[in-house]
Amino acid sequence: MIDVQSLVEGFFLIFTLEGILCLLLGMAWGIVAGAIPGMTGTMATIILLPVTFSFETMNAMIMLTACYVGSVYAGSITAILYNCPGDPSSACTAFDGYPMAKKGLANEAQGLSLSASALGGWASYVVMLLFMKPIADFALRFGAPEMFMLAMFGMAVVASIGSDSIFKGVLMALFGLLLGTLGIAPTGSLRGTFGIPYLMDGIPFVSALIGLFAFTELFDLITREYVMEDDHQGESGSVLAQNKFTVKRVFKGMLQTFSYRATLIRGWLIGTLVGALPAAGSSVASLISYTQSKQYSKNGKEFGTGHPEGVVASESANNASTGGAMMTSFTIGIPGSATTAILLAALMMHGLNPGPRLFNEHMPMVYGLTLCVIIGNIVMLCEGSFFAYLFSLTMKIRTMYLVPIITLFCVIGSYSIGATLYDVIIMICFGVLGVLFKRNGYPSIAIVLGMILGPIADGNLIRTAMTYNGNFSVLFTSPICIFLLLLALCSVVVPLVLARNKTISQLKIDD
Amino acid sequence: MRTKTKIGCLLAALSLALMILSACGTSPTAAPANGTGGPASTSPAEKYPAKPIVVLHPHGVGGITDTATRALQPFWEEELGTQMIVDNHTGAGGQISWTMLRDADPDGYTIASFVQPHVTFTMLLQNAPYSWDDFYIFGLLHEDVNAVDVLKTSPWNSMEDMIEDMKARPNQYSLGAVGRSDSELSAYIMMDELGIEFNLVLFDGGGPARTALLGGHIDGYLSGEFSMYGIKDSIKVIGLFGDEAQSLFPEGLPVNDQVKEKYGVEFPTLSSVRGYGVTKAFAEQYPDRLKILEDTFIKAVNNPAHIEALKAIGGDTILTPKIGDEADKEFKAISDLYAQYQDKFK
Amino acid sequence: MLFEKLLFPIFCLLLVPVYFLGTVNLRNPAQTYLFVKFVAVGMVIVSVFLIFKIIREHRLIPPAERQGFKFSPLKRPLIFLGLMVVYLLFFQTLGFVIVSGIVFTVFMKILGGSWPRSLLISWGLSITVFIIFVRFFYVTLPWGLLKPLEFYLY
Repeated sequence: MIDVQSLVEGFFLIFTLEGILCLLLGMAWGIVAGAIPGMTGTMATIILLPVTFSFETMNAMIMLTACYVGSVYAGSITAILYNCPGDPSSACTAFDGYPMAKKGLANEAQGLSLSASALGGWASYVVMLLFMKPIADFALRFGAPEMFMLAMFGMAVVASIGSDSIFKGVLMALFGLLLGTLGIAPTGSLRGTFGIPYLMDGIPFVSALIGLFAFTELFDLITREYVMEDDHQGESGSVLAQNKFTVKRVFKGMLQTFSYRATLIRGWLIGTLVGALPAAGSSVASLISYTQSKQYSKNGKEFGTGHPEGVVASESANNASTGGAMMTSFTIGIPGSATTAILLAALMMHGLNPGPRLFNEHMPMVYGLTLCVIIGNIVMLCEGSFFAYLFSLTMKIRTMYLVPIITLFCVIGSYSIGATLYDVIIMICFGVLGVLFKRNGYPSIAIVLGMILGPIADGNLIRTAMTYNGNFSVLFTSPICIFLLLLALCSVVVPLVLARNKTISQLKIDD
Repeated sequence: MRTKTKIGCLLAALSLALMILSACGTSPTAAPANGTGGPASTSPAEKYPAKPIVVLHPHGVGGITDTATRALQPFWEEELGTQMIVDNHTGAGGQISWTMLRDADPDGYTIASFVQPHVTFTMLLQNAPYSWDDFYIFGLLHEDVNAVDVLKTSPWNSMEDMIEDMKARPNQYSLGAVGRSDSELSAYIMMDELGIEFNLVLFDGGGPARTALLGGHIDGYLSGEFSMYGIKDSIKVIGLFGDEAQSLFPEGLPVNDQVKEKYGVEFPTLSSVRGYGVTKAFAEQYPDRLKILEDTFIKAVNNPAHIEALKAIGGDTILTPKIGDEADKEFKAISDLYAQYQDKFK
Repeated sequence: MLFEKLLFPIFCLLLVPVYFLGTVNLRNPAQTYLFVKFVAVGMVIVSVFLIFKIIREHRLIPPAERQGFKFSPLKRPLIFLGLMVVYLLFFQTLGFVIVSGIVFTVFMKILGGSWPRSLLISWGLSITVFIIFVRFFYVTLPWGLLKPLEFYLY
């Protein structure tokens, strides 16, 4: 499975002074840029692209890949500190990371996200090294029917999400699905756009996410003095005194990940596999990992209130998905996500053709890159903790200054997506909606679920209809579809059965 | 005290990063502004270009249009003496970018990448707020001809194989295409003129479509050849909607050679043409600046290093460097073909 | 307050017809609307169900314990919202730097900051961020009234 000679060659390709420098700088850039609210990892990599033009191919690729890996992790920094996912893949990290920060456990949360990311990513790249071809081939077998079933499987967890009412969760999910289908369909029909050209591509997801999470929180933050919630009523100085930020606490958090091995492994598996599927990205991976862990873990009920396991579930998957995505990108030549598309474009600009050819003719380079990210994940632990700690210091700033600063970045972030105010308006609207949801007990995670999976479900159902001329039986005959359908049914049935058993045993005890 | 040291470290790190970035980001050939008539962008005495030129891009990073532009970028920058900033503004099939061009200051610092037939579709199907009277296409880059691609393992080896199979078993086979493109039109013309019925599967982008082909989910894929170059070892081309000379793949025979005699059908050339344009207002106001754009463009495209760089990705043989009124006319003429068939898309 | 609790289900109920009203049908084979129809129907059913459920639960709470609509916690958020609306209105015309500088200074003052700090942080940040993002990151931000300065940046 591994070509040892190419592996050794690859090793020497990256272990040069320039190579290591590119790795360190690229990752630092990826982490800092990826952490800025509104700037996604994709944008950070795009900005780096022209800088790497003049570099030697290998060094350029090392720098870009390091940036990619760093940025996927970095989205979690602001997700934890300000409930502002720097990247859609960190949306799920915010669900538990931010409550932890509010409780004063920001450093621990950052540590958790760091080690979960590093371990998840590291493990997926090792898999990539060993099983590149087989997994890539497996990923190819996912056609439109299979992708639809995957989306349905992802949606099946909605039944167990609703906090106070299952129907509120379902309504939110449906709302998210409807929003996800807004825009131009593959057939060319325009859904719900009223002829507005900006709506043709649907609701811009990143803006909506920032609005729903960050802006909603900002509306709340301005009512108190610090992000951290005050344990003792009274003196304002006490909040700062209660919360000391140290690198040591970051390390403590990093070690905590090992207590949640099952979730870590689950996240890694889901992340690698989902990431390998073209057109499913790190956000889908972390979403499915988070919701699945919520269902099957014994701490599931506490997800969303600031339980460390939630952070592990989300972060291990989103970094693991980078391994999967790079696998398909390099072997087939088809990008598994937006950022991998950029990596491939970079390859092309250096005169290399990604695809089976690359695999055969430039094996040392492929191995070199894989080694680079494996080492990169370890480097990330160091650079990451440094930056995580630095960023956490900003929590010491009073909200009266912090809120406007964050708002500024959010505005830039959403405006820069399309250079139109439209995105900023969407962000603010979702912020207002988010406040409404929060006050009335509607779970925001359900909307995220709907908005991410909606387009996948809809587009693939349409394509299934197109491919099989309206005959949907393939959804029930393809082996992968059947498997996913069963998983989906389990997701719905198992919690109901468990709940029922619980009430029965409760009744027995009462007797 | 400790907090101050930490903030100091942060600032030091930030300034270091900025220094490195600025060192890398500044093109060594960027000429400083030499405005004698003040810094206003419409000053005639100013040397053009005095600041970076923005290239508005209708499609996302990593796509064909983007890769082609970025491959040309360093060479064009060298000729111009200033930086070019590729600004991707995806949205509404490109309409956003082109609307932005129309609204930008006509001073020559904003140009846009144009793709046919995508521009035409925005005008025909989306009531785009612009028309050909607003733009002047000053340079043509390349022509990417549409082809019928199948897997190497497919039983079809020629158009005839495919057509006969489809006639024998209507609606049993599927062909994929990216929506709102020359590929989609080729599908409709095939269905109409050849009288075959197959399932047309439309995709949002080339990536998912290629994956579907490689995974065997569609029986064939209609696409420009350039984007298929990366996976050329797994596919074969059975028909090309253009001239043999335009083919990237040796075995792809022109469709017309195959179907004209046997079925009595002749297809128009179907391809994606890419070029660069500015607003008519700018072209009329600053003909000297336009000339600079055109001259530098053609020099950059014909630069042997540029052609060499494109070789590895198959982009060199499809280059069609043209400038001026000739380019403008040819580009706009393509719209007529799609206007003819627009009902198919409604 | 009952109306607030019902706001979202009613909104969803209204969204469905609005969505379909705004849809332009181009070549619409029946199956392409399958998923959307399913979601829309689901939304209508669940919305109606939720409306009844919320009303029923509300009736069960004794009138004395019913929470009225409290305006004070909404005061600051509304001011924030108002500022954002002003910000958006003047974003293109005044330009990023000016409108950010002004609006955020006001914002910080309202939240209780001191004059020197508010001015320094707002304007300092607006200018620095603008320069970094426009010059180095090639992000487009409107120059507005500062357009004449554009050439000096490069």
